[in-house]
Amino acid sequence: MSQGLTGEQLLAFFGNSKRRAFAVAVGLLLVAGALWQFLVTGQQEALDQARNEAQARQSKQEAMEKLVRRQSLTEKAVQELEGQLKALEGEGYLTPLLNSYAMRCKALLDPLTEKTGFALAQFAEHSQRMLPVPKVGVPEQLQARQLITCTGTGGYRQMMEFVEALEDTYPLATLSAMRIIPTNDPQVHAVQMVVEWPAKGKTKSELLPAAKGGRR
Amino acid sequence: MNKAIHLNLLRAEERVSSSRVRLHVMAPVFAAVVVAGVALWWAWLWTQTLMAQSQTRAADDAIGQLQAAFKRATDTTGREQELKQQLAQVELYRHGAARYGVFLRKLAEQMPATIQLTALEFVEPPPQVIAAPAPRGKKAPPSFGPSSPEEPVRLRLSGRTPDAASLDKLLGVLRAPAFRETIETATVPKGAFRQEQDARGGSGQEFFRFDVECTLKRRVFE
Amino acid sequence: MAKAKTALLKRRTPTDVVGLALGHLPEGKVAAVRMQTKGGKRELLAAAVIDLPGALPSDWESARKAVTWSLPPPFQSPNAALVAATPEAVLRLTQRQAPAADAQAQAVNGQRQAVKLAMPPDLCLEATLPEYQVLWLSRLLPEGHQPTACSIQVAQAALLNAPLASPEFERAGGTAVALIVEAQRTLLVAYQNSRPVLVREQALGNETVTQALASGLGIEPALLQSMIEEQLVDPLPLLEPVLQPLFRQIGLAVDYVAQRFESAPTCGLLFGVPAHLAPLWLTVAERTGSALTLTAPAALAGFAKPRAAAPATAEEEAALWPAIGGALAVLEEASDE
Repeated sequence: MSQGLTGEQLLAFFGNSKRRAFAVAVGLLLVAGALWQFLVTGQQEALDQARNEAQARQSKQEAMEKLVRRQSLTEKAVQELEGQLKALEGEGYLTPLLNSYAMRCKALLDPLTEKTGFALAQFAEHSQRMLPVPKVGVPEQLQARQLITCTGTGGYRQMMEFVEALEDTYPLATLSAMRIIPTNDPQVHAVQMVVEWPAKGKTKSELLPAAKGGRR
Repeated sequence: MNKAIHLNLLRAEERVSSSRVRLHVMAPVFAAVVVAGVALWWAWLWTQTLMAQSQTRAADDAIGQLQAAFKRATDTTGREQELKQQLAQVELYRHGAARYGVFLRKLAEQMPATIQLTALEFVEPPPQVIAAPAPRGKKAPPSFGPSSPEEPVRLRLSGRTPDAASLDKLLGVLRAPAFRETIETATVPKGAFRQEQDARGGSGQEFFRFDVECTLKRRVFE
Repeated sequence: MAKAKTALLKRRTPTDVVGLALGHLPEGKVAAVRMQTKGGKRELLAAAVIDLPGALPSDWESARKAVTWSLPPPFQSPNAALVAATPEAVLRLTQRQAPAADAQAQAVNGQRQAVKLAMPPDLCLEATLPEYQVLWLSRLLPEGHQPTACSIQVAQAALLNAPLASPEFERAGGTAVALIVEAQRTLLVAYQNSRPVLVREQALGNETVTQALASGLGIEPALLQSMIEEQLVDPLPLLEPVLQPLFRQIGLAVDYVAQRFESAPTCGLLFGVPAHLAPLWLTVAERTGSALTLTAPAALAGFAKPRAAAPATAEEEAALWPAIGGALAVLEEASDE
């Protein structure tokens, strides 16, 4: 082995040990960079996603639990509301009798006609008129104005008393239209009146295909 | 002045540090620490991800167990909402309900004696407009009620009178404060006051036939 | 880059140095001194001969054998000045263009060479040591342990700094002639304003003198010291002819300096002579008209508190001088900045 070569080897030894150390450092930093780029950033995204998902599920769970906890209160509220709706029938909320609103109307008005002497002979159902939508939201079961045409005869006073009795007995019933036509007997009039009651209308889903606007 | 002779045969690059903290030692150590730090950070993230996933699974399980109760609760809450909305709509109706019994009684009481009513008619309300027309090129949204909460009410009175003064008197009655709560306007339409002869009994007595159009207070469903 | 590196090293110029002299004592023994500069004052903290393995290599092959040293705690300063005394080491005073102040040692034809301006404008000192010896020395003290090498000097160059430690030298204003006696040779150095302006090497050292006296007296060299100390012999008549040529060189040196620099050295200093021979040296010098003052390491006024035991033998004491000179070179460079 020549002297020069040995010297070079010795010099190389000194140079290389430090260079090797820095090369290792750079290599390790590159590894760190690669780990950061390919593992950490991806894992961070996965963590963010997992956390968002967990949070969403937990929120949903909490909301469900809250609702379930309120179940008994809600049921009580439902019972009260159903009671209120039932009570409306006493005020003139019309329910069908033998599938007929006219029959129910007759059943409700017969006592009044007897009391006032105003004779109503015919009852006929009109198509319903719609009610505006309340601010609290559109119910599935819409409420409507059920019009019933009643035809009868009687004196003006009897007719007037009948109307008063109707309004007193059934606060929700309203005289929507009326036509008094004189007969040969000046004391007796032919009366055609349209009495309006609140009643169940169509359901929202029934209306949906048709509820595209337009006149009814 | 530098007095000593320092003929240093050692080159600067051959000098090494006696300190235990050396750059070429610390650099790999630092780099290794960085790698370890990154690895630890990744491990922490991974652990956190597993924890978050486990939380999700736990929440899913809880949600699964709650489903039946939740369904019942949702149904009940939905029912509650539905009933509230129905009642609210009935309340709208109640607000728009009109009472004419007292009005009819007063009308009979204050009708001038020289007036003979031949017909009294609450005119049927006009057809409902269910939805406002959509802007051109756009579809109208679904509508579940009339576009206006108001509804006009008209009353038509027809009768006979021997003179125009009685009709004036009737109009005066209808426009009096006693009816102001119910009647907004009362007018005789053009051509609705006409003279006729009474053919009954061959008396040939002249009288006047008239129509009075009244606009009553609107019904407002709100 | 190189400038920045040099500047960086200069910033860390040491103030605590251990000087290690190799090659003066038998293999396995190294003269060591620890010196420190504190508040502008030099201090000798320790001086001893330490047993350390290995000997300076004589070729590239033997230089490959790595030897590492670990010094005892009193000598664990951050920096070491390694002073090598080998037959291959060369120190020359030459007339040449002065190198830059921060010029580093150069590798030339397998030799490591350092040049420094000794006397302006063109007198330079040039030290040379084989590359393999420099590389071997540079690996002696491992990284991360105290001390590590900050300087490698040839013994002759380090010895030139030895008089700087002498109070007489300081009193003479740095213009003096010094005889630095080693085992096999003596350096005659003339200083002008503390700068060496003449260096002569004479093939006469302590061993030569002892050998001459022993053979002249017909006794074993080992017995010489005890016989002189017990005054059983008078070696002066034998010593005079041996030393006179050397002292005549002093006269020539003084004349040269006086001629060259118009200021003659008035002070003569003697270093490295063993205690039993020193009075004889001084007497001969006096007889030849040269007034010399002996300086011993333990008596150096600047080194107030020697905390380590002094060397046992005259050789060991003499070997401290290159170590002191080497350490001093580093410290003076530091204090100068």
